[in-house]
Amino acid sequence: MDFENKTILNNKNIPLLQVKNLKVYFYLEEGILKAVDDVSFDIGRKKVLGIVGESGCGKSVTAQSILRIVPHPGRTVGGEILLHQNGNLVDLAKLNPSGRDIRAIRGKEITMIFQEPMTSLSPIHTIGNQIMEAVLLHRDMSQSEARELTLEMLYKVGISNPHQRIDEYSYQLSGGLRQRAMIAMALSCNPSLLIADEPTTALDVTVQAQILELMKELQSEFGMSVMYITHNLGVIAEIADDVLVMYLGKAVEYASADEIFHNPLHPYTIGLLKSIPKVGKEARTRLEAIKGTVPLPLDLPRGCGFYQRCREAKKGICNVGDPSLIEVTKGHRVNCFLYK
Amino acid sequence: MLFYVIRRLLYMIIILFLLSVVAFIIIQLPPGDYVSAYVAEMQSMRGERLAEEEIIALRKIYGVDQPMYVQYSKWLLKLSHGNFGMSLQLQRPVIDLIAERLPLTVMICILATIFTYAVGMPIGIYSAIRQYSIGDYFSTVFGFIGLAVPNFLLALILMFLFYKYFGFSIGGLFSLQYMDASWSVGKFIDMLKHLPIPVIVIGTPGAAALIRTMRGCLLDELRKQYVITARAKGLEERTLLFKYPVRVAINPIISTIGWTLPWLISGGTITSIVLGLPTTGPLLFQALLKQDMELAGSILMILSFLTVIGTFISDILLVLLDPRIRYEKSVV
Amino acid sequence: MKNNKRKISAEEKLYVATQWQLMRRKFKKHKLAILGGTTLVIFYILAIFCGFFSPQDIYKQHSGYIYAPPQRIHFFDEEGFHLRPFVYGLERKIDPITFRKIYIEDKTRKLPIYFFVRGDKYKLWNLYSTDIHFFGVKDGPIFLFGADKLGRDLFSRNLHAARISLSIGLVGVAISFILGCIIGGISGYFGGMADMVTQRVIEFLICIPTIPLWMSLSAALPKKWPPTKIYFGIVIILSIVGWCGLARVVRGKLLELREEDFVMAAKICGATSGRIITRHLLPAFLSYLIVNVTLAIPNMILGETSLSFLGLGMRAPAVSWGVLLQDAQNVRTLALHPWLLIPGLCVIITILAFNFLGDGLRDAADPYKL
Repeated sequence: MDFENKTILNNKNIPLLQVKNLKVYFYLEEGILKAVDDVSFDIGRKKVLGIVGESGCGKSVTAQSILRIVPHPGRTVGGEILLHQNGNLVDLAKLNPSGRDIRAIRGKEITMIFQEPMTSLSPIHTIGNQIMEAVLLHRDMSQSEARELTLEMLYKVGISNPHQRIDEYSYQLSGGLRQRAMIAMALSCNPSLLIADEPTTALDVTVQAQILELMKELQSEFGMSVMYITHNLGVIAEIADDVLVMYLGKAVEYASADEIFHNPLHPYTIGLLKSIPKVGKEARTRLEAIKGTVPLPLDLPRGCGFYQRCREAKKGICNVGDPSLIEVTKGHRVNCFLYK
Repeated sequence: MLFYVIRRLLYMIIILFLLSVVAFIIIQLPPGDYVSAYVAEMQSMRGERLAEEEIIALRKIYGVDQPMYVQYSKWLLKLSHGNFGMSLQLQRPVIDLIAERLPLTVMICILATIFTYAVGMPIGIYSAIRQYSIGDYFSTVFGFIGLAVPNFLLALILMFLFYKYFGFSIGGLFSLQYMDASWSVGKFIDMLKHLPIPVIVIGTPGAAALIRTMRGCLLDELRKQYVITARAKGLEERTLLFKYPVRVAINPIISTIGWTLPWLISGGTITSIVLGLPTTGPLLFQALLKQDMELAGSILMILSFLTVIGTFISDILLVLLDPRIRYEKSVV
Repeated sequence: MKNNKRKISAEEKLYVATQWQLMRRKFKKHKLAILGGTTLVIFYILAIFCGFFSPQDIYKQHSGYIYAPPQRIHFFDEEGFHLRPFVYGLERKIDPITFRKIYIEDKTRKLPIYFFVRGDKYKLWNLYSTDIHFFGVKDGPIFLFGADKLGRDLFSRNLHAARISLSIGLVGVAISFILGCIIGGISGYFGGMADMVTQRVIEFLICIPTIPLWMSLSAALPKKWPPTKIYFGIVIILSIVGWCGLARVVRGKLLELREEDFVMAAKICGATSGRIITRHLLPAFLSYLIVNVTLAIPNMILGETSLSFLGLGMRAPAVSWGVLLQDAQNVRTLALHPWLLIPGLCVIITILAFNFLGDGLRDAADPYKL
């Protein structure tokens, strides 16, 4: 085991985070909800992994399970979350979710920003207080050093008058500024992985573009890996190196961004791509939409989860067995009977 | 902030004025006036019959022949000099009677408030954090029962149980030998021994209500995004709970300290009557039974004014504690 | 495929169900609320037909049964099980040490309980004269809750007391409700100055401690008034404070609903204001009001009980739970005759039941919240 670890660690190409066969289930009164069901992916060093899917497909739960903050009654019931951290290999899935080890990783090695900048900051503490808290927790710094660093971070995320803003409360800031403050907090401890859970969804379109631009800049400056969760394929195209498409808690397609956009294989991915309006397309043609809605992943019938909505569905095959993720070409995996 | 305090103070003066109107109405409510009551008493007690001219003269002396608003303004003028009138029944100045009993009333009220919060908040917090645990279940039951058992019944039941099983009466605030004694260490210790029962009786319904509110508020807060943000930061769970959601949930509860005061004083009045405590409650009760309205109206006014002051203090506290409101107030 | 279709329809049911259907479904899930509701229905039926359900006349003094303890209902005797329940007759003795009257069960005198028996004459709702009682024993009185200091049956007295205590809650809330709706409605609808004034008035009234205020006002009710007048006097006194809370609720909800998206959506769809009010505002509004009314009733009942207990509310010969509790004021009497506290138990059960019901209704009133 030791030997194996060393060889892996010596290899510069090994990813920062490897998620293998992750399963997160919610035990509800109505039954077991399989929010994340057998999902695997890697996040390379200084790479951006985009996770795409409709609401309720398990993207956010995947992110939460990496930090082990899945809300009750959810539980990580299987799989490994391997973090390669300066010479050490830690399986996050094995850690006690409220223990010291995972707390040392949260906010330090792996940080997260959320969809709702309106509610993700405490209403009764100043921005500075909340950012400094993270700094003081993970870095060996005095109060005044932490404040200096916080000011610097606020400046870096493009807040124009940090000396004033640092002592303001979240309700005094606009949505865009709050999200910048969240980013400042997430980056203040120099993380190796930043998880962004739909960070621009709740913002105005112009602000979205600014935040996205900011994140790209900071990613290259800080040299961290990013896991970017969104339902917006346009954002993915702009930022991601690799893409994981999720549907009903399962990974349906996993490939490099180029492959996903130029050679999509799964009918769901194809459907998603077709549903984006394009400039230059002939006017008055209807946008194609995927029919139906995502069912709740509760007591699902046998077969492929996309069966009822799929154009290519084959009765007798797709609704009988469960497909599995297979590698079709190098680095391009898909979860569909069409490619058996 | 200063502007806000001044505005609230002005508002308090208006309330005080309105309270005096209410007190005056209550004093005037029973049919007949002071003179006719006096005449009736003279007639029934001593068999003396007053002549018509005498009655008219008396009416002039006491001013009851003047219109209401004149009577009211005269009464108000007297009030502003600290003259609350005389108690007909006890033949002593009202102000002295109230002054004798007010300190104990206020003390019991403050202790009951402390009891309410000291019991209600920790249990409420515990039961929100450990939702659906056995402890949560018990505190819910306690909450419901505390809410459903009225003060006077609780006092009655406790008195009954203590008498039945321990053979002594728990009424009063002092033992017999200290009842009329002046203040001494012995009397003080004796009082401390008698205090817990009234404080518990008066504070329990409030504590029960507080458990429910605290639990509800905190459960709402626990689901909020900022809690997850703090957790994702790597904060330890206990630190996190007390720094963020508990503090946010406590704010509105601190702000309602003032609102609990009318309840406490209300419950305290009836509890004091049942337990026979030397507070303003029994004094008011006796005054009402004897139709000694001058005394009754003054007590009601003083009690109401206490709650007004309480509300004022808690409003200021809230502004200091909650930056959101502080912000609003500074802007407005 | 068939299977899937059923699945979808089951899920879709949630979306097509009307608001009332959803509320009913959610309410039924709340077991405590069902329990509270059932208890209240039973209490109110007993109170409405109190003459019929009482075995004895409430003013009849049974001189041989002063402070008689509650009789136990038996199904078993030395012969075994009997389908017809019975009580044993009470035999009065003098305790040789304390010289107090004590009662012991006389096992030789078995008094079977019959249903629909003839007993004391009474007038149902002051209309029909009859002597049929729901239950009773054929010879002699029966004391399920014991007897009071004059030998009157406390079970019957408690039932009659329920009529006053329970109805005062309803009548008081009805008056507060009407006042609250009108004043709160004006305040919320017109806003501005009217709103300012009513809000200040409410704030002012709320800062007066209720029980002292109630005491002062009811002490001013003339002593000569007959019970019916006193009853309405007390209802009005209780409503003086009662309307404030409801008016606040009405105003707050009105202001909130005016801004709701679904109202705007209905307007845009071209719905008439009549339709907006009946289909959209009323369900949201009414359910919310019902909850608040339910939770306001216990306060009224408590108010009456407290006042009557102190002797400032209803007075004998009228009976209410508070009036009955006056007999329990003395600890020494109470220690010897603990059944005098039964009216208190009735009050507690009633308040608890209203709170459970209110809680269930509150959950049901917001059917979309999980």
